Amino acid sequence: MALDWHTILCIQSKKRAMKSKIYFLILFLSMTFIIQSCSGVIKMDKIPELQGGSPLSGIKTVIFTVNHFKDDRGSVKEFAGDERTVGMSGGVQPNYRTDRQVNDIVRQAIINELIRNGHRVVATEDSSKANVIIDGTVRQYWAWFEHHHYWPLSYEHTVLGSVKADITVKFSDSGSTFSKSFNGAADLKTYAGFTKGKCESVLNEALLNMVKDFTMDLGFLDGLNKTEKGKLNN
Amino acid sequence: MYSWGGHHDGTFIACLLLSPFACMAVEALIESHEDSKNTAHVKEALGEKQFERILGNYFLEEFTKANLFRKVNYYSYEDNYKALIDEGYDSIIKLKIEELCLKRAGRTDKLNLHVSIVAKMVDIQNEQVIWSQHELIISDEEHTFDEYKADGAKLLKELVDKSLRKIGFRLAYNIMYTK
Repeated sequence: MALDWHTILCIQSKKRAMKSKIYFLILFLSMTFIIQSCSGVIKMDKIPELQGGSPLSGIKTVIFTVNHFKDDRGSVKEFAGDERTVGMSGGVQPNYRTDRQVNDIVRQAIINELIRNGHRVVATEDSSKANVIIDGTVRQYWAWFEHHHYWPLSYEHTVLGSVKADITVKFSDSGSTFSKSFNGAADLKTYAGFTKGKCESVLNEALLNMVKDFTMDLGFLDGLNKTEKGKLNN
Repeated sequence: MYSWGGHHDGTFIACLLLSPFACMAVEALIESHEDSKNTAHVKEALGEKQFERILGNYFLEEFTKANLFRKVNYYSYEDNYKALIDEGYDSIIKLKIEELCLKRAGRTDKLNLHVSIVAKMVDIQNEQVIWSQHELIISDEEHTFDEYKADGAKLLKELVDKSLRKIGFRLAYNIMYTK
């Protein structure tokens, strides 16, 4: 069947409309992806745990209480006005939030490591039964990124994470106290920018490095070795 | 290029190989800061420090304390695995300082020290990597560039030393407690 000009024009215009719709759809999906990847909530249903051995496992069972940590992260918190804010883009704009408060995340990560190595953790209300009481203040729980431009057109991003906490350990038996600042850092080179997944990944790694820094500290381990063991069992 | 070797009590005999990073580290440290007028002063103050040797010493210090090695030796060789096999070594630990620089801390004028290390243990019989670790340390301390370079860059030297000690300790413990 021969097509007249009118039909041909109609078909062409429909084709153009379809193309426009496809372009619009691609644009919409791209924008959605960019917006989703530049802001959002990091789910912390499961707090990451260290793998492998630890000197903590060589110490006989100690009973701990880990008190609720304070959140004192300074300027970023003031800027964002939300204690769950973790991300900064280029050091300026906060992008991401965790669905748990960061002081709770750090505390839980420490509890997980103590339990993983065969120790017991009792609730704050039962701290009289504990050999060791841990207190802490979170100073950093941040992720940010850096641009690296290479001549002429190449570029790379480094996503960085830093978790820092001041921890005080009180050894009930001896009455002695141990205080120190511990930090963990992590970085990840990427071409994809500051996505939520990358942010989450470096923060988790930095958190575990901070926990490792604390639980492998010689002062802390020395204090534990001198602690009267198994107080709760007696 | 430098290496350290140790004779283990059991079957494991390792040799530590460090990347030739001494001069590069100083360059990287200096180039990371845009204030080119002041860099010469800091470079002179730091000198041609053998950062990789400092790191290696701290790393081995922890091994020695743990009595994992019966004997620790210092070797110099040219990446020749065959020579090491002939001497009875099973594996080699390579330490590479990937980054050692001062970076701006957030939006302030202060800088903190970033040290990034990659460590690998290679089975020299089949040249397979049997363990690897990446460690990054961002210093707690933050100072202005003027503070770092003051007094013959004393503050900077101390911070570099402290950071390398910390990484050496971490790496040693990571190997010692690898399951």
